[in-house]
Amino acid sequence: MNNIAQQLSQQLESSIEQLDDTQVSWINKHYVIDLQNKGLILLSSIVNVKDKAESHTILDGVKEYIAVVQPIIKQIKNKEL
Amino acid sequence: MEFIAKKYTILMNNEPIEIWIRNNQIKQSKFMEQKVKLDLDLKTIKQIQSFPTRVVNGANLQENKNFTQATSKMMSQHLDMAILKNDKKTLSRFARSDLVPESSKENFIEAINHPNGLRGLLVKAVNKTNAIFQTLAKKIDRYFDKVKDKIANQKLDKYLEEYQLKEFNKAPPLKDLDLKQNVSAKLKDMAEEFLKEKNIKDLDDEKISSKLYQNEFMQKAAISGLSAIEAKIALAQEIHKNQSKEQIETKLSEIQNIKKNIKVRDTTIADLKKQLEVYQIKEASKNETLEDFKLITKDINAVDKIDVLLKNTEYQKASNEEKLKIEDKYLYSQEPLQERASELKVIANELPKTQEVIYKTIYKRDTTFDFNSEPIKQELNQKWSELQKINREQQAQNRDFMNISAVKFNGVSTSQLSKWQDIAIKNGGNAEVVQKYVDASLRNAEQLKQAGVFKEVEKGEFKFTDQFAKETLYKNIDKTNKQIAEANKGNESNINFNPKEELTQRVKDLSSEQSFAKLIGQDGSIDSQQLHKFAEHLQKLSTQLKVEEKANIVTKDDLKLAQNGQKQSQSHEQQRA
Repeated sequence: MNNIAQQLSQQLESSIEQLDDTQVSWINKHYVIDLQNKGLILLSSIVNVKDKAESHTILDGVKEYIAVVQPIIKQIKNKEL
Repeated sequence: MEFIAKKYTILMNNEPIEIWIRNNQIKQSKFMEQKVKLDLDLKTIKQIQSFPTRVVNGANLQENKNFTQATSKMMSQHLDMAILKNDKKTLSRFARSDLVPESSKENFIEAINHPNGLRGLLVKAVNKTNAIFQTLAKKIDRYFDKVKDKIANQKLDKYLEEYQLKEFNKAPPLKDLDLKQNVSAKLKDMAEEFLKEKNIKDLDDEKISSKLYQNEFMQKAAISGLSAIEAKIALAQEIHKNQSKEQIETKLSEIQNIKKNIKVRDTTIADLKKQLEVYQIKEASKNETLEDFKLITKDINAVDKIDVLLKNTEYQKASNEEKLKIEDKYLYSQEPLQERASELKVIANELPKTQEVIYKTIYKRDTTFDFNSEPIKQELNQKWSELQKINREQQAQNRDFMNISAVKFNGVSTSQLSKWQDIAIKNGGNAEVVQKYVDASLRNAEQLKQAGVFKEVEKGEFKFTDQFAKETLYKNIDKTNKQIAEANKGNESNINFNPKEELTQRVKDLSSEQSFAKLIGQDGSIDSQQLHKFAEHLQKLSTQLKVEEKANIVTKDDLKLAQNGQKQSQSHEQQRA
């Protein structure tokens, strides 16, 4: 795993940890769990997929994913969800 | 085999969910007194059935991801439907409940309708990530299958060995346990020779070059009449022998860490695939008439159908009354007539024997405070620091400090304790004292497990059973384990059950108008024989139910009471006169 991939997977891991459904109200828990699951699938693919072109595509996907969940994590921390 | 559906109540704070379970299947579910679709897996259903009082605290099930996800989805869909129908009663019920974000309660109704509201933010994020996965799947051929294959590389059928040998090595991935397994001496010698011959120092299951070597060796073993799977193990064992112990240990712990972090199971991937399918249908398919809806949702389950129905133009335009009829027709399937008839028959036999009201004691586990709030956090930290000081001064194993540490760090973990041990010794702590503290902490955790406060999620990893248990320990850190166990039972509360009413309610559902409307096929045909049987039981039952109603019968005792009353009032009047 190169440096960028390692850095991204660390960021992704911490994002998944922060997407904590126990801190969210009942009506919103399923959305957060859904985002968690997707994050885990992305994380596993970073670790497992070795093909260069594929791993490039996945890393792009991971970057996008992290950007999408950041505002959600903020709201969870502020107890707004 | 259960003959009658049983009613279970799940208390979600103040809003109960009622579900009827028969033969481990949910036959019907209601939330806020309205029909809802709730899909739970067998494990969760069994967990619910394990509560003898048939009243379950939702807080106790929160750790169960299947329950949490399904219930949350059901509530969210219920809310979406209420928004669509402008059902003010349901919306205000949500607003009053604890099920919506506490901070935005005041402008809740406004927020849920607002596309830029908090809920909109979540929906957008889910949709955006769906789009990310769609792109990935398009760019990488069969994306999910690839991920799934790599993760769930489980043991293959032994008859596939032949196939494995032709293909790349697909023998089961090696576990640390395999390194201890006994393999034949012949294989050991062969492996040693093979590694020397090829000058192999390390093999990595992920590398194709390693796979090729493994494959070659397995082939060699198979030709000599030995097990191919054992050959892979023998090879790994030889490498293990060659490498230094330390290196292997770090590698194993790395692998274990990765595995721990990636708990992706096949089901998660399958769920997501299904969800993407629904997303695609919702986004791309023509979903105008109800016929369109019927066609595009042919292969998806009822819970997912709701999401598509909410986007259907004809449904959106329908009046609220029509909407209910559409929901009944397309979302809620009725039980087959024969099943209903047999259940009614049993109910008719059971009814005379059932008691009117039964009182049962349940233990409520509602939490009263929030560990994430700043004042509680500060209070906890302060108490912890005070007790830490005492613990240090005493150089002993202070139990109060162990308890408060468990609350602060959300459980007790062997790995965390050993990390702390290393640091403490490095910082000049007495190794013997530190070791004693670690041992005592683990013993205490074991005792708290017996008291029902902890559960052991993995060996040596103790977590709180629920938030209530955490709260109990925090409030009782200096109490004995017996007292803690007593407090952890929950707050006793008495509820009354009315089994007769429960049966009556079930009969009402089984024989409702909607239920019968489903009996008639598109061509107008009906199974007359079954219908006759059904009607027979129903008739018998309704006679029985009427007889049971006390008000319809005047007994001798009633007459006596009435007579006495009259005499008394007459004597009162005479006295006054």
